[in-house]
Amino acid sequence: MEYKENDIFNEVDELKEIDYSLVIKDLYKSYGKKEVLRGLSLNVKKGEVFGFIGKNGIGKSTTIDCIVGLKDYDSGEILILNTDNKLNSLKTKSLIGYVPSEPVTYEMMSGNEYLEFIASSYGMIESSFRKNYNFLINKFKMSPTDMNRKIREYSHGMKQKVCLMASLIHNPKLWILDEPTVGLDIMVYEVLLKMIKEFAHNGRTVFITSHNIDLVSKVCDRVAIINEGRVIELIDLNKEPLKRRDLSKIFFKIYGDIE
Amino acid sequence: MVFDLVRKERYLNNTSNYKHSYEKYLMWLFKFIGIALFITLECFIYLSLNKKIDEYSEYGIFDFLVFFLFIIFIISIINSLFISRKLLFNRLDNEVILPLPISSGEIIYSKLFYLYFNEVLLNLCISTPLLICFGATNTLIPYFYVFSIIYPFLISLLIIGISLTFVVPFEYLYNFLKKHDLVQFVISSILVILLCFIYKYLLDFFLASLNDSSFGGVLSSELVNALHKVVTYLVPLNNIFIAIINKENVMSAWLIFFGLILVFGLIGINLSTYFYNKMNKLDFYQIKENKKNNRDLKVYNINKALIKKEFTLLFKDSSYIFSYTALLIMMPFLSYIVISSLNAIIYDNLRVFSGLFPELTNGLSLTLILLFIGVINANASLSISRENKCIEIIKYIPVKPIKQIIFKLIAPISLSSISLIISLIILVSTGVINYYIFIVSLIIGLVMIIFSNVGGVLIDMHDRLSNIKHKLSYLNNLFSLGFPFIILLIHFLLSFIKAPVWAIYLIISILSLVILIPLFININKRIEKLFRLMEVNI
Repeated sequence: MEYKENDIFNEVDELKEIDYSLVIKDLYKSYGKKEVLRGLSLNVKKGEVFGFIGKNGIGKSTTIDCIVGLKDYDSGEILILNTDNKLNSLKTKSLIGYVPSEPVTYEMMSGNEYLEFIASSYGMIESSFRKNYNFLINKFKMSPTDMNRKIREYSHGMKQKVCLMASLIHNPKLWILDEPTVGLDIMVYEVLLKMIKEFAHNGRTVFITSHNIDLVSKVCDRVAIINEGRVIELIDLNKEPLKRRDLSKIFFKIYGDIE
Repeated sequence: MVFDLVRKERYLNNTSNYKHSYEKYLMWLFKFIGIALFITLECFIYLSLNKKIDEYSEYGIFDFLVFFLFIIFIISIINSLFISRKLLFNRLDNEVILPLPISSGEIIYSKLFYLYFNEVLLNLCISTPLLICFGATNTLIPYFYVFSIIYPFLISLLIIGISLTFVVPFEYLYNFLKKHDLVQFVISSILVILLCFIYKYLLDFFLASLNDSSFGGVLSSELVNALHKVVTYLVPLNNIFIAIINKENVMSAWLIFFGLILVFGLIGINLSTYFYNKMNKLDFYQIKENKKNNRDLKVYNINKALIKKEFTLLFKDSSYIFSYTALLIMMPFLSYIVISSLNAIIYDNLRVFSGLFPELTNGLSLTLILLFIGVINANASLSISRENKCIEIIKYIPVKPIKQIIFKLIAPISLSSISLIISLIILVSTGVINYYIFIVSLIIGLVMIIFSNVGGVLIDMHDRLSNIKHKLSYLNNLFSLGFPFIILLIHFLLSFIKAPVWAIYLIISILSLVILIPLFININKRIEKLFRLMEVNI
């Protein structure tokens, strides 16, 4: 996998010709007899922060797993920056930065060793890795001493920070975050909000699922609400700014109030 | 509430995962049969030794009973120490239970109840049958049989008192070891060596008993007299049994016994309650700053990064250090001890069969070498499971599945192969095996290592598919245990029909090489497909 050097928050030239960072067409996925995704389709524009929300167990994480390549899907198509993620999975994986809902890392490694492994997996150049590393540890307020400790000694929030750093270390074009705020303190939460906006500002894209409606309404340009395996509501929060405030009401309306 | 919490402990400690209820009942039946067999074997060994000891001294059988029960007492304390550590300092459990509106007293008493019943059950299965055997052989009054039933309930109080007294230092030691990989590795290696010695001792004991057609060969009047001296120091068991059986110093024996229960109980409960609250609430697990110097960050070539990760998983994950890495290092030592003892047994006792099977000793040595390498290697051959939750990572990084799998296989295959080669060099240079066996063991051993690792990774991925009906991971253990015996069987058959020695070894070597062929047919495509389809959250 060829690695192209650029900074995490710089504009990316090769994206100029592309309109959509993520296209999902008619996606079906079932677990045994249980059909979770039933023809889910959506387009995520280049440079936007896209929110993907829905109640628990509705298929948000399954959709993300299919995009990232953690799960195989039954039918449909997923294009990441115009590349099919089934036909050219290595290329699409290298374009994505992924933050899982639960922090998953090699806990017997130190924070540094883990980031080195991730950077090596993405075939990074050492100078670029160091530059991004310094940038990220400053952003997430991780001290070099912390980074030298074994991850199994970290708190939940620190593990989440390492996952966030690992997802960005290789300069992804599409940043996918599955419930990223769980366990983060308020300071890092604010940093994350800022980073999400900054990341999308230069033509890169953010795809985010969260139960935190506050986060979604604050940062997202568009929001898709999923129910019964399909997108049932797509809201452009820039065109309809009032809906930012009423997002939770819309959410409850769709799911028939609190169950 | 306390009983609800006890039930919760039962669920927490019940790791079985049955798909169908019949599997549960079947497992219960197997457990029951296993316990019954164990009690039968225990009583048989006890009675056989008892009979022999009786020939040397009149009080020998009493000493022997106390000694036997004392060993069980020590094993129970160790067992209780491990369970109590797990119960009291289970971080995940405490994170759930501590915020609930339950007093820490209720939580601790529920854990103590669970611990107590575990120990009672253990001693009912192990100690009570011995006491009943003793009563039956010495025609004691019914009062003794009642005591046999009550004994587990009483001794378990002392066992949990002692284990709770030492559970806090044990937890500190456990955490210390967890943080220091090298010390952990050294201690697990020492433990394996100790186990090897115990194994050798038991094997020699078995050897001596075979020679003497009974256990008398190792039991002498000196040993029985030494046992008598030792037993007088085995407080409180010695005092209690003197009081129960001989009715001597009854009051003082019970006072000592209940006094010890009271002292250890009070110290144990207070210490563990104090530290339970302290360690779980005051963030004991916050780690002190690591003052290690920062080293330069590096980006590795992907092959190097993958192999480094695999060795980290094998050497720094405590579950593998003991079950695989330490055993692998000990394998040369273990195989030397066992095979040389076995050769002696065969030489002394089974020479009569040499006429029928001229290659008997060599065949058995080969089987044992294969068994060792098979069993040790099986612990590391499920390479995908080794990733645990990190399967997510191997699925989303942009590295070809086949490349990841190859590097997953390189680590255990190379480690197991090195251990096999060193073992064989030691065995051949000390004359325990000959050059034929050296070469054949090397070929078949390597085939086994490759087969179980490559097969293991395929099975591991298969077991993670969403639509499978039955998991196949048991096949890997079956292969590790079964294949050496198949080789032995073929070896015996060829030996029985008086095939030339070179032909025997050539045939079994070729046969074992043949089993690799189907494994490698279309392997690239199979790996790619299974890797893509395997689920991450099973």
